[in-house]
Amino acid sequence: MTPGTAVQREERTTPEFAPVVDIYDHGEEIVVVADMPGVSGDGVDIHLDRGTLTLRGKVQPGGDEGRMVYQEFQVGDFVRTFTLTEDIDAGGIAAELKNGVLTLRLPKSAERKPRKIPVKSG
Amino acid sequence: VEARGVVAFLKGGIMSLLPRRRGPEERGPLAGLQHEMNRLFEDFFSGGGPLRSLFTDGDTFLPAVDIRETNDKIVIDAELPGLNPQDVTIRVEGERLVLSGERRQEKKEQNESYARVERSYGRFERQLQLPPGVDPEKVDATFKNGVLTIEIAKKEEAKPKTIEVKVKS
Repeated sequence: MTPGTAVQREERTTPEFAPVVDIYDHGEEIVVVADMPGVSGDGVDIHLDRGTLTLRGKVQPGGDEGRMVYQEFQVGDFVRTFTLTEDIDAGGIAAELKNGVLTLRLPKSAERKPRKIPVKSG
Repeated sequence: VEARGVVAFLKGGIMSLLPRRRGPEERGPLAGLQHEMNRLFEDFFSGGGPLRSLFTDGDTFLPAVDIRETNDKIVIDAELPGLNPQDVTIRVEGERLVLSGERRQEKKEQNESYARVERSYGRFERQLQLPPGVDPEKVDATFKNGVLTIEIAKKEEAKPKTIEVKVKS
């Protein structure tokens, strides 16, 4: 065994899960709502790079005392990536995390917003 | 037309490579049965009758739970994203813990069209059998970041004891 593998085995790897999301369109913005139970506000990382949006929520360690007697969920980080086909105004992205639910508002770029063009009569 | 844009917005990505946290239907035969029982129960009391479940998607919210045991307590973690403490009721009846509540859908805004709905809502009730020897008078619950943690103390007689063995020389 090489020393490298020994180091790898000692590292604690946190499993990653895809959070369930609702996505809806408000016309002027796209809203993404993701369930991230166990994640606090400072554990959220949102990354937009050339049309690829990545949501990441890191769970806080702890809460693992005792012996697991019944398990339905595993604790791990939440990661999900989307490809954007709309032009998003990256500077205007707003994120809020409340009670383990991330709400992300992605404003569409001005030229893509549906616009109402007034028609003058006369 | 708007909705189509958002659907395309979801294409691709690494999401298919990651496992979902398991949903109620995937948690083994007993949990699935309980989910079905919960639904029948709801249908019965809402007057829809058992047939109604054939016509609804039945995707109601059911929190996932983990149960741990230490020397002096039982610890239950329930995933309740989006809920507030006042949305949840905890009852201990003998050696059974009943967790119930409702996950409400956020208020809908005008002019919105859904591109994807994976999250679920609705009333839920879960009954969990506790190991023998818990003290129903000593229950603590904390709610943090959408995770409810319930701690139930064990009765003195149920705690593991260390018996000192004197060795005669």
